[in-house]
Amino acid sequence: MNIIEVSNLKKEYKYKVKDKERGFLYNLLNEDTKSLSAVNDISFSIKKGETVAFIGPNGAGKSTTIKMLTGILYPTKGTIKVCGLTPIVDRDKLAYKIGTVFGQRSQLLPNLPLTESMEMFGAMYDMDKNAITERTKELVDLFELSSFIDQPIRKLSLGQRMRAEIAVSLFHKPEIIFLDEPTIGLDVVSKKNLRDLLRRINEEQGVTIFLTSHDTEDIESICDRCIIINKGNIIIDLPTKKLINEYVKSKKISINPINELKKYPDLTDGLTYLVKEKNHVEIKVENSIISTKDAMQILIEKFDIDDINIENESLESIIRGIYEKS
Amino acid sequence: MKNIRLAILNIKKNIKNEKELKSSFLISIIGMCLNNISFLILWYYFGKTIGKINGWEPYDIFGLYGISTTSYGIVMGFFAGMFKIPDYISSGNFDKYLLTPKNILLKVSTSKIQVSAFGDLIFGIVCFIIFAICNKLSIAQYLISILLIICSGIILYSFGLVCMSISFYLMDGYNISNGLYGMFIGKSTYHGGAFTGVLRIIFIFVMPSLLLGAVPVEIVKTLSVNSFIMIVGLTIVWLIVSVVFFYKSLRKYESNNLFGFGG
Repeated sequence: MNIIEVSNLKKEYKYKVKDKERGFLYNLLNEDTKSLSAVNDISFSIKKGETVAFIGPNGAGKSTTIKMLTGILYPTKGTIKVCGLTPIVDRDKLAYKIGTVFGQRSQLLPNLPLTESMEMFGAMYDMDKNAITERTKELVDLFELSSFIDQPIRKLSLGQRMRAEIAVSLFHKPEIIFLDEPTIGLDVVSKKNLRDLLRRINEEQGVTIFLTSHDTEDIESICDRCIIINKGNIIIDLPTKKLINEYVKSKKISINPINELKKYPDLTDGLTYLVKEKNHVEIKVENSIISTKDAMQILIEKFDIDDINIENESLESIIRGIYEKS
Repeated sequence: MKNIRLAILNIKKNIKNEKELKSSFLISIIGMCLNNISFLILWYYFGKTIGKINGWEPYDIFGLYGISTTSYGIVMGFFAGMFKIPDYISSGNFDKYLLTPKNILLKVSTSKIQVSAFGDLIFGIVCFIIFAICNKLSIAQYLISILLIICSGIILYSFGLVCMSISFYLMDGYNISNGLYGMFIGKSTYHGGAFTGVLRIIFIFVMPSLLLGAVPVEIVKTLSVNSFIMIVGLTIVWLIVSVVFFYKSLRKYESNNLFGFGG
């Protein structure tokens, strides 16, 4: 069952332009407008329970699309169905079915403990006192919030605050959660905790996750599917694993030699040094020129190998390559 | 009903939120009372020196401040979020009110309180009591006064809402919205006797500053039925116009991404 259905979605922004050859008064009275296509005729659907990364470079149209999916912005053209509802028409009904976390915008009361914000959210979603107490307890356990539940929000660390933000956005048990840069500004430990948590709420509670992020670790560890958008167009829509397999153009081979290297052997076409150290070298294998198997055979002949490791190209460099090409 | 319950809860939580910063909370309230007292003294001695102006006695200034600052205290105290609309629009923070259920206007209006406005509220009530004692008001006059304070509050809110909603149409509407609103509110505590002829018509029917305090004081003193009906009618018109204008303007909302420019 599809939880999101988007077809031929388009969003144009109009902006004013000045006629530089004319004076101030002319421009004040006669305004010309130009239009900019932020989202250009995109279509996709998402099944219930999927975890989808909606990614693209800055200005690609990600936030505009999320804002149309959640009913904030009116589309210029096209149709959107989220949980069977048209967001801009059924905004109020849709709010009961979706949760949202927008980067560094807080929904919490800064000077009060988290429970106070939770009580307010509960009331907003028509929950009675018992239901609010019960749901607060559930989320405190799930998100491990008990250590700071009594502290005012402004005294929390960014990592704790993000956990609190996500907990609050799930208070009404939404079917889908939209996350815009949820790990921005977090340290590595907080990022990992948050990713694990998002994975858990997807697996245990079946919450569909729709995420935008510039952090490829978020995408790899949370999302099973990647939709890449650039200049308002969807350029790739693939399962994350398939994206990595299909778009891997190179491998990295790391070698630790038995003895310290005095000189570095010359390499054949398709092999280039990435790191040259006496006890460690890293070599890039261009798979369009040479296969990994052939590269391995050449390197075994050229080095006295103590230890060897082969790694795929990182998702970050794959995505960078896709952005650059498109 | 659920909307009103949520609005009350919002206000309660916001008061609790602000009360956490106790010293700032108290200083804001006391500071505003002192500020108002200085204006009141100025106008009172002005009235006393000049004498009666267009039917206005010196102590009527207490009534003017009593009604206008009480309604101002209620609106700015409990519904200050509405005056944040230009900020919410320019920062993109308006999004969060569109993403949750219940009435958008009520949620936005009760999203913030202005602590100093409670100083206005206390000051307004004290002024009104002084005015009532000086004029020996009857029970009917007390009841009419309460109705007029409600009308004054609704007009203040409505005109404010129209001013703030202009921000939906402009890239940086903060200055225009607040400038227009400042012009409106500034005239509301001027001596009532200063407005005659065309000026009076403008400040009743175009920019209804006189409906916040001056006209209500005159109604309480004269018990004029026609003026009372006029003020109730204008209150209803302003409320309808402002709410319709807000929802029409909301369609123009183009969400922003939070980003700071310069200082």
